[in-house]
Amino acid sequence: MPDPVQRKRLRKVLIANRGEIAVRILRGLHEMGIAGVAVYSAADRESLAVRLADEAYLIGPAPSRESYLKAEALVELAVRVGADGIHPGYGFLSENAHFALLCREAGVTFIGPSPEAIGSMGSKVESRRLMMAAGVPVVPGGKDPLPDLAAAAAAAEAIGYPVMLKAASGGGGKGMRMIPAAAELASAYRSARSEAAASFGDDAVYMEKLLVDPRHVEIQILGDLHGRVVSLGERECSLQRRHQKVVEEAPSVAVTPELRRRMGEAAVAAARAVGYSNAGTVEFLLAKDGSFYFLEMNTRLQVEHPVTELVTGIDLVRAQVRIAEGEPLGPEVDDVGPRGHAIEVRLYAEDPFHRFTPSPGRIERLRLPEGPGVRNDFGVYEGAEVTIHYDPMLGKLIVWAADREKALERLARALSELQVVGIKTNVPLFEALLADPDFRSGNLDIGLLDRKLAAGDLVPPERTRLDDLPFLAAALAHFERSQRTHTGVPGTSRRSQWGEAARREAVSGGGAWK
Amino acid sequence: MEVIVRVGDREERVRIRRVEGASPGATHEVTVGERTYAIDAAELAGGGVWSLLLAGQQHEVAVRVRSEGVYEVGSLGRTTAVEVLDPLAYLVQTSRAGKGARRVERVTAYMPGRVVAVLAAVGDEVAAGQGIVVLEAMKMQNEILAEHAGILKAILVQPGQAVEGGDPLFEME
Repeated sequence: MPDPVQRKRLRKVLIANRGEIAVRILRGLHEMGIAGVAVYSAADRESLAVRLADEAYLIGPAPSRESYLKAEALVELAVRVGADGIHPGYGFLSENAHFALLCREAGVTFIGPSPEAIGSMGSKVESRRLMMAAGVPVVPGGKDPLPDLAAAAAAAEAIGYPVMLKAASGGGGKGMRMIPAAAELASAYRSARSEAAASFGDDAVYMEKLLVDPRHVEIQILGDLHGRVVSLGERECSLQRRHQKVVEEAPSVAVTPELRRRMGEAAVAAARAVGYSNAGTVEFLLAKDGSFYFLEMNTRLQVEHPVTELVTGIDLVRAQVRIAEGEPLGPEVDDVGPRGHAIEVRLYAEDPFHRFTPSPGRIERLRLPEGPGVRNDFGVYEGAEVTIHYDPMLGKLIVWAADREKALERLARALSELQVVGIKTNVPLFEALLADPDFRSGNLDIGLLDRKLAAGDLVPPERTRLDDLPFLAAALAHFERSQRTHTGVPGTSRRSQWGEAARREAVSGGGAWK
Repeated sequence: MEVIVRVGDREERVRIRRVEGASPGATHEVTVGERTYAIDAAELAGGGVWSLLLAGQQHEVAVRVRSEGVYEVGSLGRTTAVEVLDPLAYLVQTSRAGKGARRVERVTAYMPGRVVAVLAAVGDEVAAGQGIVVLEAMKMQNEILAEHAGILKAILVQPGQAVEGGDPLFEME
């Protein structure tokens, strides 16, 4: 029977994004011989993505809603410049079903899932319903209000203690109660309802299972246009600050081969339930007892995709493009490991010693670590300006090694080589984590980082080798500056001594170059 | 050259001169307080980054000029603010401010935004790290903090006011 899926090689792809992910996508396109079109806002004219692109077009002033979020303008531009594909990256319009639909209607290949799949997973209510129908475990409970104590007791029995009551009409902890066992239910139910009434004017409460200190473990899946969906294994993303991931790794120390198989099957079932194709990630909460529950699905490539690439050997951007071109997934996705261990840290232009205030400015010096097992996915370069218009992420430093312990050592080494002058970065946070026993042992949960930060438990190790160093360095720099101002020429530094000798040689006509 | 170098609360008298062949490879001799160092200093990468060899120990530092006499010294991922004063300027500063060498520090907005709140009053004694003004930009609210402990000398903005990057917010003493 002939394959109904059309195979169509892409020739030119427009990247509807910016920063490090635009650079990542460009690199993938160039390896496949596909032309890359960058779009830039007024603030990104000198960005690395533009510098590496084959073509680049201005799409608006700095604010995202006037540039990177202008769906119609982006599709029109793609058509106008002859791009036959659009890669949305992550964030911005990547999970915007309307944008995917505009691409389809314009005959431009959207490198991602269908608008329908995006829409289904974009709704929490809809996705939860689909997951339950597909037999994918979800956090037990429901949003239906509990009209009386009997209903609450029945719900708690069905869900299993410990449970949590939440106000239907508001958040912020008001009307919320954690109930460890049946004995506490009655008083918790009464006080939750009255608190909800007082805070929101609506005393309705609902119940969910309380997961104590769960991990955030997500599964990378790939689906082609021929009906095949595979799992590429998990990523451990529990280290989050205010729900923003900060460190990611693969594999997770909490996932056995058996659990990996079961979570992989659940993730594939979730993807199939919405007819998913291309790259996607199914996020789960993993409880201490090994049970796991669907959280949500991200219908795009994720920031932390490199750790999966490093432990599986699969290039995910390449896979996305080939899938979009109609290629079936091949044997390369069978038996993908994980092999070794990868850890990624997200580098931000922010000051961890001052409540993570953003630190915009010009990067005067940038030395990225190199050498074995080090990968840098950066969107900036030395001399680049970090502006306040967008997320202040500079890029990602990812290390790979044979096991987790070696990966931690490699990460420490790489961070010590990293040099950034001109802006502050969150590097000290990672140094503090590398000295923390829970992080080193992989004993993670989604509240850990916030708890440790709030308690002041994360302290970067003191690395001063010489207390007088700032005095020496500033005095030297000050002195040499004043010397050059006065004399106009560098003094008797070693460099100029070599220069002196060379000049004498040249003038006398002697030396080896006869 | 002789200067006074200040790092946080620590002040040192520092003498520095170029040397040639005093000890092998040394380019400068620097005395910090009572301690004298023979240093082989190489400025790298077009400027701003130094490799300092002190008796075989290698230290890499980045030195950035913030303003006249004010430097940011970066080493092993940490940056430290350092002030370098010639002895005469130092004397003037300390005598003018009386005992304790207080100086007026003006804090400016690091990005354009809108002032949403002022958290302290003129004359308040504030602690290092205390929030003084709340600035809103790009839908984020950020507290602008006092770097050091001191007295809030002047508040130069009011709630609702729009500011550009570099606009003065408050002055501390």
